[in-house]
Amino acid sequence: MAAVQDAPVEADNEKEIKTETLNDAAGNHASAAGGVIPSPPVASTSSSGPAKAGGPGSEEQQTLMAVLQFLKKNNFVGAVDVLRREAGILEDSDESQGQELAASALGGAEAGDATCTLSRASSCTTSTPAVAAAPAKGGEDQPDVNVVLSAYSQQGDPALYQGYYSGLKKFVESVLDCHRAELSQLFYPLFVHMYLELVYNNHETEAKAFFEKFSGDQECYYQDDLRVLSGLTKKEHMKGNETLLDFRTSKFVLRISRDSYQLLKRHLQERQNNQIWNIIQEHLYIDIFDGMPRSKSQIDSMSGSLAGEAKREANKAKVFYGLLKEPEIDVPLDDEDEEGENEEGKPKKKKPKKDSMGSKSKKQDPNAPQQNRIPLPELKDSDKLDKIMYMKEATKRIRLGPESLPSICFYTFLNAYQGLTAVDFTDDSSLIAGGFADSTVRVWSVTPKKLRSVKSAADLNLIDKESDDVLERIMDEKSASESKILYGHSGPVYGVSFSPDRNYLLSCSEDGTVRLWSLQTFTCLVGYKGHNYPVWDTQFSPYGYYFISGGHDRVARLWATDHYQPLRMFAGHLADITCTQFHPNSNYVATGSADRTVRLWDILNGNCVRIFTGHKGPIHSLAFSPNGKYLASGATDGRVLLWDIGHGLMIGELKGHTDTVYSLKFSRDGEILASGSMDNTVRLWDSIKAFDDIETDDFTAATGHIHLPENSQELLLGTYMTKSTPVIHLHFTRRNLLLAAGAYNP
Amino acid sequence: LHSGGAAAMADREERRFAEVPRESIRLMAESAGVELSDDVAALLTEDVCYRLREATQNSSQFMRHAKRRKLTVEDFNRALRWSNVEAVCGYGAQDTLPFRPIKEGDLFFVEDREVNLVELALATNIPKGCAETMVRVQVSYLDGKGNLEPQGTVPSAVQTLSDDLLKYYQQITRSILGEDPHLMKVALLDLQSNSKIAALLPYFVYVISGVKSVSHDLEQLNRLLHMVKSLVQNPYLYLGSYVRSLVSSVMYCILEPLAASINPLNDHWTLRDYAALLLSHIFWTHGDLVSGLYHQILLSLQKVLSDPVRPLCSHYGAVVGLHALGWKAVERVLYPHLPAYWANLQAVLDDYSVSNAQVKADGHKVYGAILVAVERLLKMKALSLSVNAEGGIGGLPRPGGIMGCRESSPGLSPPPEPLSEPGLGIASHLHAGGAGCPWEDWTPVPLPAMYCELYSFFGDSLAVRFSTGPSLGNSPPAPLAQPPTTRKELPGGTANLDTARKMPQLTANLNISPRQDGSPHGELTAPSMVSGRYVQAFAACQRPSGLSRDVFPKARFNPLPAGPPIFSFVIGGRQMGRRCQGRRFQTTFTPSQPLSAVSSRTYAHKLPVIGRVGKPVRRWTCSQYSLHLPL
Repeated sequence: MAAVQDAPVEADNEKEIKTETLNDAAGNHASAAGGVIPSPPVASTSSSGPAKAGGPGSEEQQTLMAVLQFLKKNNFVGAVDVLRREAGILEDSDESQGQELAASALGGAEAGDATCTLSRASSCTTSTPAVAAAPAKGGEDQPDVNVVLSAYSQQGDPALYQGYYSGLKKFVESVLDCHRAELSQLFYPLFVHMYLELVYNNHETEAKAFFEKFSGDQECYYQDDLRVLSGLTKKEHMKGNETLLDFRTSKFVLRISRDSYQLLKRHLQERQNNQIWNIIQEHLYIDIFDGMPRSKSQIDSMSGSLAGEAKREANKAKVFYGLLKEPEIDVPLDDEDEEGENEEGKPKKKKPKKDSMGSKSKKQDPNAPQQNRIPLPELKDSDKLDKIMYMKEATKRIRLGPESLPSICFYTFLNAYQGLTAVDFTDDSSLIAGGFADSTVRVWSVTPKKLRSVKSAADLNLIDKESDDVLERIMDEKSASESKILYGHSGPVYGVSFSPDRNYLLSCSEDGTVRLWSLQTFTCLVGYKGHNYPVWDTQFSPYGYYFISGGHDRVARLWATDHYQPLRMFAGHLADITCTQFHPNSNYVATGSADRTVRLWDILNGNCVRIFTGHKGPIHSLAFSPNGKYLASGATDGRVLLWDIGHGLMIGELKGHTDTVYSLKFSRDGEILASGSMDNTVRLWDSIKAFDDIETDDFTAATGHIHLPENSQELLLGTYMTKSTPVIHLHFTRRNLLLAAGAYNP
Repeated sequence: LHSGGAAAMADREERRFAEVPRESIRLMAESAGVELSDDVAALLTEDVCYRLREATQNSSQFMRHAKRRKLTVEDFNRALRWSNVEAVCGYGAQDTLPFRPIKEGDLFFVEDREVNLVELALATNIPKGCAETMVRVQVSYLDGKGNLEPQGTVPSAVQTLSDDLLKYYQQITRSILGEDPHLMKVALLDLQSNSKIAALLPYFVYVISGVKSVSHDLEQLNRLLHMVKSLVQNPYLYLGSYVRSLVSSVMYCILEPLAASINPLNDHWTLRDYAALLLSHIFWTHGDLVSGLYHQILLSLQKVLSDPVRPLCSHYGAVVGLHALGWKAVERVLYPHLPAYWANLQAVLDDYSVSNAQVKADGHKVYGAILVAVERLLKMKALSLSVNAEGGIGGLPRPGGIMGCRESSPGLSPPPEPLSEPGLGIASHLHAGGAGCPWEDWTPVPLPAMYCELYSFFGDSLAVRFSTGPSLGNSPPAPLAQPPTTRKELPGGTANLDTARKMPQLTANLNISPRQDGSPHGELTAPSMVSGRYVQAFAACQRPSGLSRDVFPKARFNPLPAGPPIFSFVIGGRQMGRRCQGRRFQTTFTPSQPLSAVSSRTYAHKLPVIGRVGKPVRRWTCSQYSLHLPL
């Protein structure tokens, strides 16, 4: 463990501050959020770090002071005592010093605001005022802590930075080949932090020169971040810059083999290169593993995210990725139930159903979560009917494979005027919904059956409730039309999702709300407010009732349709959450983010159980394989990555698209992965082969690093062009016909 | 501030980002009433640049989530709104707004066209704004197999269209390119008015681009041009960037030495004239869709004109093209080139050898085309000057009576008047300095000098052409009308000239009588090819002049003088002070023309009086500042 000893606290505190900023800006929920947010893995480390810190240097002393101050303001008397005892600090010294500190800090903060020469305190976050506004947290204390813990306070000689960096560069170039790739990982985070330090300490020209000199060395996939950085030459601008905040609030994680790490350490100690060493200690988290150093390609395939790779522990948690047992297969109960319904013709239909499902679900999947791990809604009669329909269709399903590719139907949105932002199909492919930039949601019937709404309450009173066709009678024939428009949002609609029972539709929008629409009345039922920033995506659980939403506030929220407040909040992403997806067993959700990571969250306890890094651009699409074992993710870099959820490893990289992959879908049996992109193509990939080609031995290897085969071209089964129509949604019908949708974009 | 600018410029290597100059910041501050010192301005500038970049970066997220490639003003505004900054209002168009500079003032602005609401409200053909959003499904690929072959050829590409559209496309192309002229007419009419063919536009454009492969077939070329015309006139079609493609097809017909022109019997001249008309029409109605189009057209015309290797028919095309684009184009391009070009033309025309006969005939065509072009140039320039001198005629009723087109030129219509109104033309910034100075590095030649120079080339033929003032019968006492006493003889001369001159196949432009359009402010006469259904959605400054049409042209040519026309056929020009002799045309004229009592010299001597710029305004309007002089 090379992480600095006092790191956890720092991370902890800053994390807190950050969430508060968000929530405070959000206006409400501040306290609620504080309580609900599951602590991200970083924060979960014990906060006894400082106590262990041996060196009684003045720096550390100050840190302790600040922490004490903080504890005292919050009336943590016990903790104060313990800490004081352990650190051996006298009461009065702590008192006086602390006050001095606080005074200087606050003064600095004010001066910073007034004169734009920021003190260390105000620079730390933009949240100084924000925190003060959150009374629950006793925000006044925060600056004290921030003063001491603020990063970039060290004042190295700006002229030497270039020397430091090139010294390290020379060193890395001189080491053995096998270590070079690993140690090269250091360049980017060091570069960024050194640059920021220069900027922070007002060495603008040096910073610029430093950037000019070394920005070219960085990996190309950091271009976007570098562009942001290069624009940042003033200390004032560091305030409120999100990217910057990310660098500062999270430790950049590097995985380095023990050998390489020793080399580095020795080098830095020999050279007395404290500057670099400090940065490594303060801002990097080096995850050391025993074993062979990784190769360049191995490293490249995993890096690229905003905060480096995932720590290995982050992906250690057990994930129950198996599928739930299908309720109908609870044989005796089920039979009774359905016979009780007096539906003629049912027993006949059940036979094939059982056969088709039997092979899959009879034996309990050892990796499946307990059936009631997450409370799921009871099946209604209509749901059972639908299941039966599903079974019937499934028997007619075409088995796909490299030899038998699916037919593709394209749903073209005409006259959308560049306004189509999201599409969803119902599972039975009977309805299609589109979200538009003009704030509307439109629903079309894909079948000849027109969309009808339920009669008004007055009219409903008149109908004979005992009649057999009462369900037919409640529908208002006059309202029949091919499409319905749902008005309610006040900003572009970025995501739509049908409930599995086709009774509801979810939509999320720039206006910060998620809306639930009834497809019986075609009216809005609920507006879920919680995200106070644009909501980029929302998704119903495959079992209905729950849904997930994620947006610009970097927090994914789990909702239930009958609760107006979220049940869970998943915080941890370092940038916008751009897409969300439910695991087929509804126990997990995956979120893709602009921080170029995919995270998997456990709904039960809100923990982040997987962090997948390797994408080089914001992730815009996610898809679970039908068996729940694998996850596919597509990003703006045009690549699709495949992940093994159980082992938490990348198992495939599908290269071929030339633009953002906006849609991914596995075929019903998982043999084919379809990807749709902005580059006006649909591509089909052989997912079976992709999963099989991976040596399972790799999974058990201690390092957990696998070598990816370069086989994109072999896996690509077909590329299908559209007519100037970006593909923004894909859907496999129950019979494995592929439906694609997009707006004609002349 | 334009969001696109920042993003586009970010690509540049040497400067990583768009930077707002310090002066701009200072100007903006000044306009808000704040004086900035140097260092404050510098600091502010840097901050402004940074904030702009930040907002641009944020806005790109909205673009990505809207699944678009194009960053819109809306995206930018959203980013601003979410960072608690006031949004920039008024530029929410989906299409790119032309962002242009005025060189003189160091001013950059987004072109904002005026929309004449009255006209829009009273328009009878209201374009269907937005069609309903709809979903249509088709089986694209069956069993994973489909049109995997490259879709370059039109037919296979068309097959993915819906059945109806496909059928329509086949029918239309077949009937337009087919034999039956009646069918063609019907098809063209439909193409002109069908509101549902937007999806086919690319295919039609593609078909039209086939001009290059049928350059041997005048008939086909003609039909394709008609197709262009129909597409251009269709009010429901948004041509967008296809304008460029259409223009290049039309330019091909104007400029290229078509294979059809090898045979002198082929009347490719008419085709070129028609194409030139079409070009000007496209330009005036759709020129704003593609920025810089005007400039490009002018450049390519200029290139052809200045290339002596090109055949004369190409030069002819360039001249009629310039003419069709308006007198400013002529002034800007043709006029400066004339001295150089003249020598070549002279050589051709002076070669009396038999082998040269054909070329010489072509030369005459070019000569005639140039004559007509410069003649209108002089006229329009004079008019614009006179109007300027009067302090603008904004308050006066426009003299509709003298804004005529000649209806007697069958099938051919006068090209639209040049517009000097900024706001319509794509290159309006070029004209921004006022009516007189269109180009940055180009100083206008004063009218008298211009006339002298031109006179040196054309001699009396120029003078004679200028005598076609409004005739006796022209009743409206418009302010710009000429005193009736001044047009005794010369109109007759014109008429005679028109009939007598043996310029073979005087085509469109030659037949157009110079118009005394009193206004430089874009009295854009609807070209007759538009057949009255001229889309004026945005052309607020356009005004159809229906009244003038029936009154004026007939009146102008009816009253022949009682006596024999006083007309000199000696219209050879002198190039005063130049080496070459004037061009003598007398041989081509019928000797039966009675000689006039007054020699052409009489006119020639008096002509320079047009230079009297200092004369009182009133006088000028009375004399219409015309070259027509009382004898």
